[in-house]
Amino acid sequence: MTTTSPGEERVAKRAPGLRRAGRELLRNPPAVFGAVVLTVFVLVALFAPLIAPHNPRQQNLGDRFTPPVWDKAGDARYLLGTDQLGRDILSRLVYGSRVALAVGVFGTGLALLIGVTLGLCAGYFGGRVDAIVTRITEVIISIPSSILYITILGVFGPSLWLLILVMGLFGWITSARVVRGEVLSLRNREYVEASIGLGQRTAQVLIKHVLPNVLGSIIVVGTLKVASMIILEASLSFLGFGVQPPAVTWGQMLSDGRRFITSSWWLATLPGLAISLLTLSLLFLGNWLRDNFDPRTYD
Amino acid sequence: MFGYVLRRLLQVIPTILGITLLLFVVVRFSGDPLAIYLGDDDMVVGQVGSDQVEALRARLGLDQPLPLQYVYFLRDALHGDFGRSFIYQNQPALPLVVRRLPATAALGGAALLIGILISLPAGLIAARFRNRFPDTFASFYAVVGEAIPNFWLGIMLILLFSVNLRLLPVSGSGTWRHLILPAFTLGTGMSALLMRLLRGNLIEVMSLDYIRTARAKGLSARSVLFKHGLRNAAISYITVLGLSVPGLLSGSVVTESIFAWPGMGLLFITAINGRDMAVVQAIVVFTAFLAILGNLVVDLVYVVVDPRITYR
Repeated sequence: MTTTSPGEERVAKRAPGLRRAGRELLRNPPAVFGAVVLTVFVLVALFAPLIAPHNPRQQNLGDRFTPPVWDKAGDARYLLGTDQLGRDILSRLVYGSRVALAVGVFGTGLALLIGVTLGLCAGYFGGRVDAIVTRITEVIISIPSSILYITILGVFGPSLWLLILVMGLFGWITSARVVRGEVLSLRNREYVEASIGLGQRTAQVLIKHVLPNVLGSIIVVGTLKVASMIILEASLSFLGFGVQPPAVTWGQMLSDGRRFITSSWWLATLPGLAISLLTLSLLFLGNWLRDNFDPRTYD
Repeated sequence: MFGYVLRRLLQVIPTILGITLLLFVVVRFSGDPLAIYLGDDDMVVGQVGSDQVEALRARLGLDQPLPLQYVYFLRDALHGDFGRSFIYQNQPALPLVVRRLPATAALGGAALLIGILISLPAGLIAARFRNRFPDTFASFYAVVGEAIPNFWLGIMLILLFSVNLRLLPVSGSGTWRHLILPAFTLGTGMSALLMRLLRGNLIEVMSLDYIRTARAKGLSARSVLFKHGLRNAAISYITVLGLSVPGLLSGSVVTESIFAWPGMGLLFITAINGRDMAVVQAIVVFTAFLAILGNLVVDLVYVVVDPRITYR
């Protein structure tokens, strides 16, 4: 979905320096928005204890259901209001970003590790290896993802680490497919054949010569994957199969807030806004990366 | 053609083996299946005399080596026997699941319809006015539609249309008015995905030589877009509709539980919360079966529709 024509444009865009990338970024308002919002979320997650005005688990039963500060009944101590137990919504949102980003980043990391390895092998060796990877892929995509995840999390008992593990174990399909496709076209390039001819071991050829050329696509797939994992984590936590209390998660805040939807709109609205903003920033960035540096990848 | 169909059917076998194996491993490694059978309570196993427990273990084949147990599991699954539900009065699990299919199918169908009704015009307009305002807007919609989690969208729709405007029921089923909000909840994400795909395909098709020929003949822009562009871009659009089955089923889990829509997704959540493993297993296999079926139908339709594809 590039806006420029392929060919020379594409060659010209090769080997972009960081400064070049920065200049490109500034020309794309959604990508700028994405970069800024994502940076803010990452900083908030890293420095949560310094930013959160209250302890996210501190209950103040006298201040239950305080609306956000711009409401007539608002309270300046609670900028975004409080929940059914009088806990500060802003502080909970701040701490919730930690779980969202941790699941997104670690889950994606594991998924990429598996997907890139399998994709490299499937594309490079072809034949039986490729057939096996294809079969495994078909099994995983045939089971509706939320049913697969909830079955495993429900059976073994949900926890943060199991969630990350499961997301990694079953979330690698796209990356494997993309990498496999790229490797198929790289395998017969002269420089790959040359390094094989020079007697380099297979692992060396794959890691030194093939992998660096697939890196662009991996970054694009990874960025978009973080977004989808954050949504998945939120929906699993919403249904009660994600990260469990006392950890604070956006999905769980939403699920609590839903019970009070008729009286306290902010409880369910604000966590959803946080999820949407974070995933939107990742999608904008990922799409921009794809359009500018890797027009070959698509999902 | 016959050979192709047969080979395509044979390819399904390893997939089904893989799905049942994965399910078997997950369920077996999660605890003593006997405890699950007896009502998921270690107390019960302790209370029943150990002779009786062992007799039951032998009767269920649970004293056999694991590979053999898997073979029994597979045999029963192929016969549609997943055991009995202990939440729903000891009924056989699979019929219980199949009975929920119409509700889920109605929701999925309505969501798909909404997805098409939004994505078709939006994709066409975006491709027609490429890089101009309508396109920018449609592309923005596609990204936002992907970024907003559908369960939050569902709750916001309830807040707007049920709580504030009092136009539609909050949850439940029975009339077509109950279907509107859940269908939009499930269909919006779908429409974003379909729109992006259609736009991409149209743009690709519209840059091909025969489109230039059609334009050179003096055909109007609209006629070129509809008669030559859309017809050819439609093939992959239709493909994705068929491949959307697992996504719709996956999304129906959360959508149905928000709106108390009595389909398979709601049954699944009830079953897993009650550790009703017979029902859970039946749902996993049955939904995977539907997904495989959707995929298969698409592949066959593809061959019939697109004359360029030859089946060897």
